[in-house]
Amino acid sequence: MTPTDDQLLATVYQRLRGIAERQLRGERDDHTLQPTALVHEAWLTLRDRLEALSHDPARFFAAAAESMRCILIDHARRHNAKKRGGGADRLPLDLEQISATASYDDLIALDEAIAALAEGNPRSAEVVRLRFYAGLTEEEAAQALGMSPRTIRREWAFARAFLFQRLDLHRSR
Amino acid sequence: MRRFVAGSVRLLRLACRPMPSRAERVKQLFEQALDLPEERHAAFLAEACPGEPDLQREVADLLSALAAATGFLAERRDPTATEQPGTTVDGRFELMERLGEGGFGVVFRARQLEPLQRDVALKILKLGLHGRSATARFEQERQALARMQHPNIAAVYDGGTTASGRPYFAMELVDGKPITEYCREHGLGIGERVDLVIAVCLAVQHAHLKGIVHRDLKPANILVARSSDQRPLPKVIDFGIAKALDPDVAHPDFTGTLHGQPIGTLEYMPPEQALGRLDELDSRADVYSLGVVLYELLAGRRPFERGDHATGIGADGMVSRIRDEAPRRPSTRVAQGDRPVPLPGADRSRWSRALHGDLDWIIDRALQKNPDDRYPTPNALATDLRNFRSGMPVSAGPPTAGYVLRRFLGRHRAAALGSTTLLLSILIGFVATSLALADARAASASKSRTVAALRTLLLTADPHALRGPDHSVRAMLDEFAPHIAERFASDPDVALELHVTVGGAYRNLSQLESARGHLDRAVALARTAGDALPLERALIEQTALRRELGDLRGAAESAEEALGMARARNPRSPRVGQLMLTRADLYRLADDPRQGEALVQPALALLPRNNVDPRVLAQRAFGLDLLGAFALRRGTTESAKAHFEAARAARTRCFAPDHPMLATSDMNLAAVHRTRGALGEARRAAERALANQSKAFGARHPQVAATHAFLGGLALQQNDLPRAREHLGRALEVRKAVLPAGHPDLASTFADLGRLELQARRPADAERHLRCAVELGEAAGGTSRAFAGAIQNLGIAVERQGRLDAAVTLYQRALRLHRALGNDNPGIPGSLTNLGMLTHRRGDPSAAVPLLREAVELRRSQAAAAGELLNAETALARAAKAAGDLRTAAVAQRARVALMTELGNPAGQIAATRAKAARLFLDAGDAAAAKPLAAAAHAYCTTEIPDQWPTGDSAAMLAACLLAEGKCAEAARHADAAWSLLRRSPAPVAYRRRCLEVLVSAHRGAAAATADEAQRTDHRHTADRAKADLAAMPGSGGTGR
Repeated sequence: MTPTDDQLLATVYQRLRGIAERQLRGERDDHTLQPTALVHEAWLTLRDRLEALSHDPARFFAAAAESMRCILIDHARRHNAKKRGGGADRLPLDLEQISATASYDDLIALDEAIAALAEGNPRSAEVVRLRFYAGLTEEEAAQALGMSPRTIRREWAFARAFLFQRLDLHRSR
Repeated sequence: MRRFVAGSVRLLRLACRPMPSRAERVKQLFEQALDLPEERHAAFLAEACPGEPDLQREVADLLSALAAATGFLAERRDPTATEQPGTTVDGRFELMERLGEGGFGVVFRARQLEPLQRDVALKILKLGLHGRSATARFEQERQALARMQHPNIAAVYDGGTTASGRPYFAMELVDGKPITEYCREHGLGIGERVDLVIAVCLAVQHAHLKGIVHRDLKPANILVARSSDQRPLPKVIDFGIAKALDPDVAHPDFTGTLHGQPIGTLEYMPPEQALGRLDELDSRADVYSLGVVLYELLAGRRPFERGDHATGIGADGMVSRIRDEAPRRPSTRVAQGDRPVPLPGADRSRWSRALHGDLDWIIDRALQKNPDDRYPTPNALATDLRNFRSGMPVSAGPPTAGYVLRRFLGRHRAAALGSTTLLLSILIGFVATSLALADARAASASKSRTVAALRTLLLTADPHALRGPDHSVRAMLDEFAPHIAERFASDPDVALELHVTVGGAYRNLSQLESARGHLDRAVALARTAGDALPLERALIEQTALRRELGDLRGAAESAEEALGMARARNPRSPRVGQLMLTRADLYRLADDPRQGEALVQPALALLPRNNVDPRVLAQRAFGLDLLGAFALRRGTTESAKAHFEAARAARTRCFAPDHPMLATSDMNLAAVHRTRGALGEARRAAERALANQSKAFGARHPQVAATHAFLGGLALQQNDLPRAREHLGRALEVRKAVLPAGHPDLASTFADLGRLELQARRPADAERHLRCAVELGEAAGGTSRAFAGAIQNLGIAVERQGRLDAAVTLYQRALRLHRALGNDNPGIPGSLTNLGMLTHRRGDPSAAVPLLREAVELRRSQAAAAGELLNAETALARAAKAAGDLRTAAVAQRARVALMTELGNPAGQIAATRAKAARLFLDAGDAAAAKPLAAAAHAYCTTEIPDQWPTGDSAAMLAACLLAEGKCAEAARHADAAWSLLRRSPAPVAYRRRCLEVLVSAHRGAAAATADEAQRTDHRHTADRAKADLAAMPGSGGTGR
């Protein structure tokens, strides 16, 4: 992916849609937000910032990831506030399907775990956010952050270990 | 010692880097361990952090978590990774070569093995998005696709699921190029291009008849191959794939490629699809996309492209352009010439002329925002294209007024009218009557209905009403406006109404020059017709426009005429009140506050009281604003503030909180705050207004510029130069773009920028801006205070660059201009001060003194601010001293003492000024005037700096004063004390000499006065010794000044 301005925007738009769809697909019966609505919500949040940041891939994707995260998590929280329980144990998650299969509890727990990761290892957490929330591939994340793919792989491995451990502990308590 | 400690800390810091945090160490160890085989992890950790079992355990836990986390946040494998060239799919297709890949999946060239052997394109779709139900749906779709049989549609032969469970299609392999590329490479002319599109239209029509909509038509999906007889053969591929992929989501991918071509961008999508209103998608979506393809083939570019527009590059910006903006006509696009002509080597203007007319209209119709306004079917589009080819009239004619209106209504249903019933009745009325008008046989009742409807619509162009600048309204106006005169030639009263309405709409859109033409014509028509009411309305619009254009005299004329007419009808009507307020405002702008203010209260009395009608409230608020403005001008800021606050309160009762009129109130309050010196509050109010206005009017609007200018001036006042530069730069940019050349606001922006650069000590830049300001001011007649101020500042800029003669000329000119504006003009002393200082600088202090004296006197009589007065007094003191006019210098220095005290300057500075004044008075021979100054200076010195030489000097002056009063003994005591401090001090020789002279005289006087012999001897002795000291001082023989 060559990060020219319009392609960046287009890529993110498409990714947001994909994530939104997957996120909501499992919830069709009682959905409160259409994928398109979700994406439009994300766009409204993003619009101004993204245009300003399009020359700066790292910050651009960070902003995209952050607003997708906010929307997903807000949505999950709202949903949970309405409907308690049902947080079935459905780990493991995978990148494609996390949003489709994960319960809202999983999402919130994962987000909290990422926040905990960020405290000691902000760079690992950044990699996770870009890959998970903005849907970037390894190479794209490397480009966006200006790191080598090898570094990204290491950060990613560490993050997975950390988050897995954290979520596991979280659950067994 | 201290230094040593600090140094060693620095050394320590250099010697060892900061300790990595525990979290960082954990990660480091984790990453190092990852490079090793699992069985060596324990040994590595034991070696890497011996004695830290906790750390070892933490890393080990993470490593085992990673081992257990298989599948957690794992990456999916490439969905098509298992299908490689060589693989056989479903036992029937042997994959040969990978042709391309996109978001949907991957395409292979494949050899079909049975039932017959042929090469096919095999498209394997991505899995993961689809559940089992999707597979069933997919199968249905595939069967529908297989029913299509058309020479211009790539056939779908077969489909199924691969071994890994992914759906696939086997399609006719098209050995072709995307249509755009084909046309370019084969040098096709306009007619041949149109023929290709006709064939494509018919293919799409065929699919529609089978119930299949493409939904992703674009050049990459329209390939052109060569038929067996070497004719171009277009083939539409990927029919229904978008829908098969996901029936709910028709957004194709944005970044995939097929045969290396970028596919699927917003640029081919109709508005309903781009906006995600998928339930509205039908076959007319394909008509739109065909229109875009045709546009691209003929104009060489797409109607909307990212990056070709200032408003934004994002998908979001694209969506709103697709929704709102009328694309430029292909002929215009070609003529414009920023891209090569679609056919290399073709003549640009001929190509453009060939598109002009029919093809423009056909494309315009295909690209309508509202599907109802497009060709209903691809077939209809093809028919019109054939008509064009055969020279028949096309069905898409030039847009008629009714057509324009209908399109407009379609876009602005809600904003324009709010109610569907009303909409329908107006629409019906308009269409009916415009048809009738076309026959020039309209009943006058329906005529006025037509006009009323049109006016309602055009008034929507008022951003106040619409909230947000609306470009499509602009486009519609531009299309409609030029035809008024010609179309309504036989109906002058209708033409008049339309000119007034269109002119008003242009004014609201800040298209002032366009507005002027229409309103002038309206006034002329109304005069010919001799009907009073329409003339009055036209005059009122003209007043507003001329005011905005900066033509105050013209505006006043129009207003007076309208006012006279309104009075003649009914002198007590609210309309008269409104017009009086308008007139008062013009007086205010023309610097005639007395006449203006006199009009306001009577005007307010004519407005209905206790009325909650928003229009009346708005008028009342305007009147209150005027009262506030006049009060502000008189300097009664508190009363101004009260009026403005009352106006704002009235507005909050009739406008929504984000209405731009509230921004007007905020700006008024900001002005009051600024005058009161509450700069922070002023800034907050103005920034609130700016946000509001930018939202309502867009960035390029005169009011937004005015607010930027205000904020810039404010920042200048707060000495925040970067902020000032930003705001003023914005103001200038917008004003240059939207105001007519020579508008006074342009000059004032240049003037402010000049002031800014002066303050930033960049006189060359300042000169550049100020020259622009002066030039504009000269063009406008050059009599205003602002103009004189600009010349004055230009003088300063020139002087700072060392061009003194030029500066003198400029100051003199500024002075003349200021004097012409009346004696109470604060510009006069300003110019005098600059001129005086420069005269002094050029070596003629005597000539400077009278200038500066006048400056001081004027500033006093004008009750100028202490700071300004102080500057003048300082300049005067210096010049007078240099000119030898010691008394004038002394008086000026004494005046400075009072001003510095008022300004709260440091006591030390004030004492030093007192000492200077005292010395000058002494030198001028006025010891009586010197004494209180010397005494006060001395009192300060003895308390604050008792052992330093200025204390001695002030004592010496005091001694001199006492000596002048004949109090020799007292003088001698002070002189002794003074000399003891000055004797060995670094004080200038002149000071020490003065001290000794006083000492000698005082002791001699004291010797003469005393009766005591011993004392007399003593005094004489001291005096003699001092005399000797004096003779021994450098420069002795002469007397120090």
